[in-house]
Amino acid sequence: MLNFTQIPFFILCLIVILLFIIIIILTNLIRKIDNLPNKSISQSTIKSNLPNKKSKEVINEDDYIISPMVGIIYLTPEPNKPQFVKEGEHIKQGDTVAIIEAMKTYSNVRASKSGIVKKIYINNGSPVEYGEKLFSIE
Amino acid sequence: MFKKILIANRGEIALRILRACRELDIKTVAIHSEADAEAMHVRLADESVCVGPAPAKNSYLNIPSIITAATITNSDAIHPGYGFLSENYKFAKILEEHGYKFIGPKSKHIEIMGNKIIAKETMKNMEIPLIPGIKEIKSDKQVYDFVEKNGYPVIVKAASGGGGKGMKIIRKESEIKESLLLAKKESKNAFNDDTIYLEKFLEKPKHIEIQIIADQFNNVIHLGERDCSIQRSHQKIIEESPSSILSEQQRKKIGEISVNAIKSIGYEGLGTIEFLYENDSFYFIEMNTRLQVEHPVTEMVTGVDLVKEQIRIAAGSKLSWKQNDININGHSIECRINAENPKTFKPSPGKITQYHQPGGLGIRVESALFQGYSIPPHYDSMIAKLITYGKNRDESILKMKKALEEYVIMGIENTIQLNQDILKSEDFVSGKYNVNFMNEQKVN
Repeated sequence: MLNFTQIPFFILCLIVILLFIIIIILTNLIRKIDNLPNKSISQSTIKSNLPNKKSKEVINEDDYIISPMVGIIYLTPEPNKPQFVKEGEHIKQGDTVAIIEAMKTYSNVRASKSGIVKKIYINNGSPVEYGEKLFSIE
Repeated sequence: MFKKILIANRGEIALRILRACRELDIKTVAIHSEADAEAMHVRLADESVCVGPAPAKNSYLNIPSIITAATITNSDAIHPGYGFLSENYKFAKILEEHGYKFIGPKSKHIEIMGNKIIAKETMKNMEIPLIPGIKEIKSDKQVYDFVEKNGYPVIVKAASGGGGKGMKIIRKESEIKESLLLAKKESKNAFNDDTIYLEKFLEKPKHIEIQIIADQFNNVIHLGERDCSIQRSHQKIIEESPSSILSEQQRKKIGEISVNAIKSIGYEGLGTIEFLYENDSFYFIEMNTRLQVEHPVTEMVTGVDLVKEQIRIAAGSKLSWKQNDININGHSIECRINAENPKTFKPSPGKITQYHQPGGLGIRVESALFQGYSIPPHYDSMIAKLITYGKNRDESILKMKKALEEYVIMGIENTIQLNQDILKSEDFVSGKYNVNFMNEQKVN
């Protein structure tokens, strides 16, 4: 009597476990497929978020000018004036590279070190957050 | 009385106006920018209209949007609060032309007082004392004659100047010739204009302002003074009423002079006449033609609800008080709390992670903050006003100290600590502080 009831129970258990395994395999597959097209779009963000995983170069925080506060960033001293710095230009430590407007006051963003501006990550007039990467310097 | 008022402002002052409207049984319409959709003034209003994106020039200063909001909500009046459009005479004029009541003075009075030169001329004609001076120095003799009459020190300034260039303080006769030459030279070099003028120099003035209120029938009263000498780069930090240095006689005299001036220009609504005060003399600075940030200290000591009275007057009611009904009782202090670093004054917008407001008898908080609220970076950094009332100045200070200790605002930097340091300083406690208080760095 015991055997009769236990056999279907075992089968049921097996089926459930099998189903689980299939679901896990399937979801993994889906994830992989999803990642393929996304990679090209969000490469830059992935790179900046997970710098050490794919490329072996160690990214040093010192190589960036970081936003000191939340606000609206301006790359020019006044509207219709040339930018403080352009990509490829040399800057000295302490140079003003941008202005951030927050709560009706303006603060200068200064270069944390001397070097060449490799990349500007933000657009003129865009909102920035505290700690956001603004420029990379080489 | 109005049926529905559109409040063209945000933050604590929008709440202050909203509460006054509630008490007068008037419906409220809040306007807001995209950044303020979750703000307290929007949550508490009967209706709300989004008038534009986050930057103030596209939303809270967007006149066509605001007037459209008033039209679609069928509002009959607009309260501008302070800042934003409150002293924009063009806005007031447009409302006058389109049949909406601007809760404030007539556009022509905003225009007059908005122009510093015309304002001074007007006030001079109304016998309001100005800082004595010489408009344009044409000869040294003028200066000798002036100091003989008005005494030292005097300050020479460049007519087209700014930033301290061409400015010289003269403290004794032997300095006159040299200072005038230097000022002219500096002025010529810096601005290509050697026109210089001269004023009596005030070494340690206090900022004293007189609150007035006028109805549409030319009844005008004053509600005493506020001492707002604790300022940092022309931004007030602490205000109190009454000022500990004015005698009852002086208060009455300057109050009467102010009332008479306001009466003779036919002004309507709330107004504040700002003075510098030194050696028992008042010198006019400017007039603010609106509700002021620091109005609560006057409310506490006079018992007059300034915002309710302002709305009643705008609706055509007569003043509820005569001058003799107004008595100054007790003492009130207001501390402004800003979202900024208390030492560097760098702005600090962001999310309020913990919030606890002080309370008790004689403690009043005017703020639109709540736990979980994110202070947007687009607007002014003032996030709260803490007001205390005591039977005398000592009690008022003591209550303020306790209340500041109790106030918890976490997640952002704020100036509670700065206010505590000021309250502890000897100069503040004695009441003998002046407008140079913050520059002299007596607070650490």
